[in-house]
Amino acid sequence: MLVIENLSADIGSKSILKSLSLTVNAGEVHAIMGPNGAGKSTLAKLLAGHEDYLVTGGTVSYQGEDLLALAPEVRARSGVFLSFQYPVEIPGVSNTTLLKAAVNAKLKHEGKPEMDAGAFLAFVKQKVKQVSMEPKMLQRGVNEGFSGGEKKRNEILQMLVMEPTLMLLDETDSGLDIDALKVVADGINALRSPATATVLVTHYQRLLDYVKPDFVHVLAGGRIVKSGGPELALELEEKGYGWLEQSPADA
Amino acid sequence: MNFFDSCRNSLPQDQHAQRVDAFARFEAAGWPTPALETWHYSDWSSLAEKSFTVAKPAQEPLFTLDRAQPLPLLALDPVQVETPFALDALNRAFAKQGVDKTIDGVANIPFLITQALGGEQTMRHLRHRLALSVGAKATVVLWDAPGTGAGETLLTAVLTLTLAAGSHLTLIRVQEADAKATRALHLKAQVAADATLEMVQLDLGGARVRQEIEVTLAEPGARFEQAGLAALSGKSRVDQRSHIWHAAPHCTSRSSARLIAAGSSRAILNAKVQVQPGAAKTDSETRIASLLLSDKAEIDAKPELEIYADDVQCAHGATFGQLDEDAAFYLRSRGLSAAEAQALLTQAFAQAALDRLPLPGLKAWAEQRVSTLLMASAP
Repeated sequence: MLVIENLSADIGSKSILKSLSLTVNAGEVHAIMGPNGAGKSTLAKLLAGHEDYLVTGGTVSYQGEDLLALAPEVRARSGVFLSFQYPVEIPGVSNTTLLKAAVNAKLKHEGKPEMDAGAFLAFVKQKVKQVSMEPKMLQRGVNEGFSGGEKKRNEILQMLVMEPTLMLLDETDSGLDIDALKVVADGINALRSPATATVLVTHYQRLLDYVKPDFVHVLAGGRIVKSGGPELALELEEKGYGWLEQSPADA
Repeated sequence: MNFFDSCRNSLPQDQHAQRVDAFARFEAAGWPTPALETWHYSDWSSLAEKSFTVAKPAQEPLFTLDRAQPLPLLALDPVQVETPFALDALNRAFAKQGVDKTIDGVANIPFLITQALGGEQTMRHLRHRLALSVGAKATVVLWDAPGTGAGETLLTAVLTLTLAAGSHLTLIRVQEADAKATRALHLKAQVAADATLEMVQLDLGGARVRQEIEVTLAEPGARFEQAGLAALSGKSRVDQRSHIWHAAPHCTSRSSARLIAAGSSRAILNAKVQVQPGAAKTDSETRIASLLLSDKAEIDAKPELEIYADDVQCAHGATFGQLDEDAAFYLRSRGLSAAEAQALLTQAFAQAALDRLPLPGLKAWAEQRVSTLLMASAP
């Protein structure tokens, strides 16, 4: 589904990703772990189409298409979803307005008719319940005045509503209490299927207790330095990243 | 034939001498230009080359929102108060009608004043007087409707407001003149003790629009609250000037404006607060926030403060913003196009003013109208 080959990217004059390769097949869950500044968030945002990053080499294909050639909104409509590490507050745009625009943009892209107001409301209410949010929060500005946990629940709500094919979660678990963490994990698991794939960017093993990954990768110095199964996450939890952080020449 | 010749021949016959005199004064002064101290940003001298005939009475357009009750236009009293409006003499020369209403008690249904103009190369001049008795409470919508014809039109209006002690007037001004319309409004308000004048202004069109607001907070406890939104596109040009006089102690004024200019439009706002000697404990705040959506658009925002009293609390500021790029990316990452994201974020910027509309029907209409306007002017 997602094939990244030798991807290099800069922000400003700084090189962040250095010839990174990763293949994610349908039905798989990949966890990407690694120390701060390794390039984890860059990878997630770049895949979603953030324009701050300049791709200097390599290719990314998504369902056989050149992902890097697509505008961010086209990626989203084609099923790529990024759960932001720091969701943006947008006062004056209600959550409902955003969700409705998002759903209809995707339906339109798929050549399907837009949802009418009644059907949309029923659909969203059910998803709101799934993430244990207060329905009245739908009327508030997007993430406006939300706590950290509420913002992450809201990301998961958007994800459930958009029903993506490829889920990219950028440290969605950080700073969450156990209830919120379970909501996040339940959301991911609800969308997990043989037809979807998930990339979890995380610092901690904790989320992986609830969302079992098929593969765990360590991203350090802009490239994947080690890959393994779920046991690698446990090993990292125990040993930290120090033993893996070596200069690219040694790797 | 130029404007002055065509007008001189069509002056109304009633109170003819007074009208001839008023028109002579207007002709001597000419159309306002930036040479006038209060008319710094606009030049209307080219109107002298145009000719307008007095509009014939026509069916007024219907405003059906919020069960608003139209106030009838009455024949004017011959005695008229002069105002410092640069088009005052022109208005006095031709004005034959206007709303003349004293409101007592609490009015539950909003009143409506419709300012409309049919035909092409036509003009109309109105002079309104509105008074609220002691303790009265009312909402009035002043609606500048779009014209029906394709040609140019000219409309001037003078509105005098008197708010007696403890009264409360919510005045909603909706200006949606068409792309060939010239509109000028001079509003003069006197606010007595513990009375409140609340204004919400929406400017959504017009080729050449001038609005002047002079509010005198005349007695202790008087209050003025203003929220404005100008959402302009095409070649609209809206020039607003407000002058708030704090003439007594313990008065409050709050002014908040949002200006959005797309296309090659231009929005001008000069908001002045003047605290008179003796007006201690004045509490005043003026905020102007502007958003430019195109390289060809222009916004001139100028808050001013003149203080001649001690022990006052006054704040003013003007900010210019670009749309938040992080917010735009966030919306695009949810499938919205760049244009949709811009329109939604601009709408959000406008929403702060729209939220101040107290009438639900009008609010929903205005949200839709602003949304359509912004969507149409998205790149």
